[in-house]
Amino acid sequence: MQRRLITTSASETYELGRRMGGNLEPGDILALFGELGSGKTCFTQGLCAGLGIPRKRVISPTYAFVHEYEGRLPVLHLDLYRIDNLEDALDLDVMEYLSRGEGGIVVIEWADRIMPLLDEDTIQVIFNVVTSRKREILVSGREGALDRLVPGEHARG
Amino acid sequence: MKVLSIDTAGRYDFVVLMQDARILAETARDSANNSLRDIIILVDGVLRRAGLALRDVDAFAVGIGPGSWTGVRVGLTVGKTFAFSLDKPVCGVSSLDALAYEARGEGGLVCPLVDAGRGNVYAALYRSVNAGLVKERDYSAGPVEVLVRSIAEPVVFIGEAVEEHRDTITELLGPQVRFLGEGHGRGRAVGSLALDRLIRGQGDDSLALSPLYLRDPLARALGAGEMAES
Repeated sequence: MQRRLITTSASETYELGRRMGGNLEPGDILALFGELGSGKTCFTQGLCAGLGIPRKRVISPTYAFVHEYEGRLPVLHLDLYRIDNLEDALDLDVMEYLSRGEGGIVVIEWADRIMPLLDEDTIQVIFNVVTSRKREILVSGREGALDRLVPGEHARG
Repeated sequence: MKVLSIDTAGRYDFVVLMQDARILAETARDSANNSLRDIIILVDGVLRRAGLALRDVDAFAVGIGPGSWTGVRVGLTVGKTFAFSLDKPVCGVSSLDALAYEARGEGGLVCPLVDAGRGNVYAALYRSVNAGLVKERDYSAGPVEVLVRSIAEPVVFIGEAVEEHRDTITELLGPQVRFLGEGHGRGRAVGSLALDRLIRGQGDDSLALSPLYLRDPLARALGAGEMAES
């Protein structure tokens, strides 16, 4: 199942994240895909805002690899930009982070590095740059998760 | 020879102090809830109960995995640091060897299992002959179904991953399987296996000793869905 959304500004991308964040449940794992500047961190800030975590606390963890936040649910925010392959991800104990997130939320930026570790329960969010401000955002996962996270946002186009 | 063993690679953190084959003091604790930060306190407690100081220990044994990567790193670092700073020998023992050691008297094929996540396990195969063990298949990682399908004779499984995969294993292998539980003696097994090597002068270098992650076999297994050997 996949839903296609269009945002026309960074604040709309943030707002989409905030709405989804309000409906996240323990154990949700979100894998984000998209090039630099496509909106992944902006979306994650919105997602965390929806969980009651202040926006300024949420920064791209590229250099720290992982950030942890405490909101309505605990959030593990991983950024695998500097990870070249699955072996390097395993060295950083990604498996442990994925299982530790069971009671909370795991958000993974640059999740393409660890495709073999993502199962069918993972919510995949793909960010495509259309114009400098416009983004096509494809959300896929199980139907129940999509109904919960993007209610009423039916496939357009 | 007094050997202090530390194994924090699995579900339980073990600290065991042995004098040759005799246990002087030991502790085991569920490793949930970040108990690793208390590892020094666990070591201190075991030494106190035995009425000994750290400098009285003749050698150190550490579990090197496979298992929890963070757990392995903590236990190994503590053991190596003790050994290096006191200038005493250290000996690393694999989780799989330690689990198999517990089943050494069972006869036949022994398969220790350690969970590797996402339906995968770390495993090896040993044959138990006259209460000794001969390794028949090297350390490997992969889907539990693939491992189980590759075994064509009666076999004993042991390890923390056994319970989780019990149904799958029973379904595929039927009555020729026996389960020996989680392997609660692995802390002692690490000590006993280390002692065997230490009395023969086969300790490890306290700077060079490394974790047994089986990272590459696991990555290959995750990519291809097959068992991969180290």
